Amino acid sequence: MTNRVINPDILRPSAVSPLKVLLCSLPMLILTAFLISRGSMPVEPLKVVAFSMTYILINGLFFLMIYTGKVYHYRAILFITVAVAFIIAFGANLLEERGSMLLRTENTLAGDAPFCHLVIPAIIIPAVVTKTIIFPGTIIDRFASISGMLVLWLGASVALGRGWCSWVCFYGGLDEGFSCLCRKPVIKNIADQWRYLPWAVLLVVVLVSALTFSPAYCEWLCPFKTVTEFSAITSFKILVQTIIFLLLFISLVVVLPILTGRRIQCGLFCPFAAFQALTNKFNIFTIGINREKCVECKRCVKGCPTFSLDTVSVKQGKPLLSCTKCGKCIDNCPKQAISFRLKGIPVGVNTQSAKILFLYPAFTFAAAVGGGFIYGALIRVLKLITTGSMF
Amino acid sequence: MRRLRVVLSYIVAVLMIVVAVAALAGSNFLAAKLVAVTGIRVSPWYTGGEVANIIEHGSYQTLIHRPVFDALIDQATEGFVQLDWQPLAALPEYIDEDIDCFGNGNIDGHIKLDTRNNIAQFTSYSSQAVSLAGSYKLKDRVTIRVVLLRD
Amino acid sequence: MVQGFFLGLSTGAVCLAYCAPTLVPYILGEGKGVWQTSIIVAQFLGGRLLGYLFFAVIAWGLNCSLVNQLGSNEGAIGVIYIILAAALALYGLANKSALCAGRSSTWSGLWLNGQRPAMIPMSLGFLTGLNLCPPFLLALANASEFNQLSQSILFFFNFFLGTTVYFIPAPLLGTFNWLPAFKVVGKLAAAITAIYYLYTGIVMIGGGLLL
Repeated sequence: MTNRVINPDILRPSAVSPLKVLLCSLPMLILTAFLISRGSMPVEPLKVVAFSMTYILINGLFFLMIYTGKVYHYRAILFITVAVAFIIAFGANLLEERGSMLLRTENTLAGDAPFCHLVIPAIIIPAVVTKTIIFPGTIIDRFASISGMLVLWLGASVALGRGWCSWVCFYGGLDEGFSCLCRKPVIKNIADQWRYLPWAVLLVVVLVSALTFSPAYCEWLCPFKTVTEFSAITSFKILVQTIIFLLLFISLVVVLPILTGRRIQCGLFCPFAAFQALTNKFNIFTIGINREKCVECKRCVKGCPTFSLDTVSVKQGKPLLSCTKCGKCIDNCPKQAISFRLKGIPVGVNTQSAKILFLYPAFTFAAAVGGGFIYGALIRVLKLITTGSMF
Repeated sequence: MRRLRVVLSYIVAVLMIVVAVAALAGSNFLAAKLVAVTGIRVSPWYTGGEVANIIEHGSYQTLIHRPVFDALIDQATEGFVQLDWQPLAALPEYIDEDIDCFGNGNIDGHIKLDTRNNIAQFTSYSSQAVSLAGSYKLKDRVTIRVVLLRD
Repeated sequence: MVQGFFLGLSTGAVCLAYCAPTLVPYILGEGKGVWQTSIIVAQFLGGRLLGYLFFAVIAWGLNCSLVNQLGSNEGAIGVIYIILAAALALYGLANKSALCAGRSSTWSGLWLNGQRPAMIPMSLGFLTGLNLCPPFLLALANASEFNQLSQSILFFFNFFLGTTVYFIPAPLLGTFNWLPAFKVVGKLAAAITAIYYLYTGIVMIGGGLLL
């Protein structure tokens, strides 16, 4: 086990004055209180404790982001925590409601499957042509209903573009977490052509879903089925599907991220990620590379978790379309040549404002979606500790 | 012109905060609007499709859905028809019924259903009603699906 | 005979949907312009026509009910799927330096020299033509009325023409050739589609044993 030393830079305050940091954090304090509690403050002691812990964690991370100017580090902590909390909260909910994490035909008929954003690219063509959603969920008025998730996705896509993949997605923290386990990557060189694999998977998933009128990615390729709900093995087909899910999870979410130090599932496989990259085209926020400051050390290229920078894009002063705005390149750059940027404003101008303007919607989504899962998971864990049962 | 672009950029960036808050705080309202405007619904392959016929049996009823052959374009060659018996609490121990899968007055098969252990037996009377796809006990009803072939 | 054309016209969209997972990755993988893509599509359709005519002959020679039995024989279709998977995998993974099938000007020369780039789209077209998709089975049932080979062939030819209408926009995929990345995406997608067909083929051959 490697002993990890905290980089002293991480806690060093940035140039922003403490008063400004407080002023910047104040609206987030109010917003998160409202969004995490969903408008009604808890009264049960256990829930009050869980809420307080969530609230302090989330706002503490936001405060540190502004105070130190380091976005990636604190975002990664939140992102990984959210992914773990999601598995606990989601799994516990399923166990409470269904008695198991299995998705049986009965659940499908009752529309019990919670809708997940990863299926969105596959449902679009059938939805446009037939006005039907090829997913066994419920359209409205339920946890993770189809329309509710679509609204969340539309809003986040407009506000953040592919920033969704580093701020809102509740799966991404898993491969981010595993990718952080290894400080020195074992596999360093990955051929450029693999960057196109998510697009190829997207193309096939969209075509096969349209042809079979069923969500091909969910049925065949989703590695996260391993840690969420999965079909009861009642046929050879489901056995094969389960083996595929397991193999993909172990390879893309666990082993390869550890060996490469990158988010392999998000960067080299996920078709939703490829699809979401298109939203970067119209999103106002991007990353700018100041060519005058850049010394071409390639630390940003080597460190980008989702392969969104290459030497050509660095020379052009902007990331590739697949940038998730995670902030790692910004934190990694020894010359402070990389910064958040608003399209229409020259690189290197008013970078602080651009950062705050991006962080507000990004963190609002992260806090609302992720905060809900952390809150839910903490309630379960505290219940387990105090009563011996999660339910 | 350049100044205008800068001002517009900041305005749009601030609007993104509004979008974020609106999408999160107003998600229920917006979700209802989305459904109303687009008219989206869950595929009949999962819901069973619209109910085409209801047969009353006094304390309980049989719901026969429309045959489902829905596909992206045209229709699939193989589909199914769903039948529900509800309410669960009022169902007899055994259900013994002729079924008209296509709603054309012809009897396509016969179903024998033991509601206590959810064991169903299907006898086909037509080449289009192929076999029993499965029988399922839900919270409020018992459901079966019969595999159909399009003529 | 016109009946065949209208049958093709009414069901051709389904044919397109069935062929899309094979045709779209291939066209993107070639990365050619609209004109050259048109040639590729024509070659693909030519292969498909051969597949149809092959069945027209069998339908006439063996009696349609036998062919219908073949249609419902999942094992035979499974073998076709596996061959299609092999062709797609070969194209997606091992065809990096192959000549473009859309080189219209030198096509005949290449053919004479023993280089047959057109074989790939024609093979893919032929194999998808043999896939016995629902519209095709419908055509097969209609063709059972004919006693003469010429009638059977003409019916399937007209059916082919009817379905071909839906493939007319396919060459427009050539407009994506401005981005070289699409070539890589197309080839990778062909390889993934190969896995899908391979699995489908294996399960079909396994049939009742596996399910």
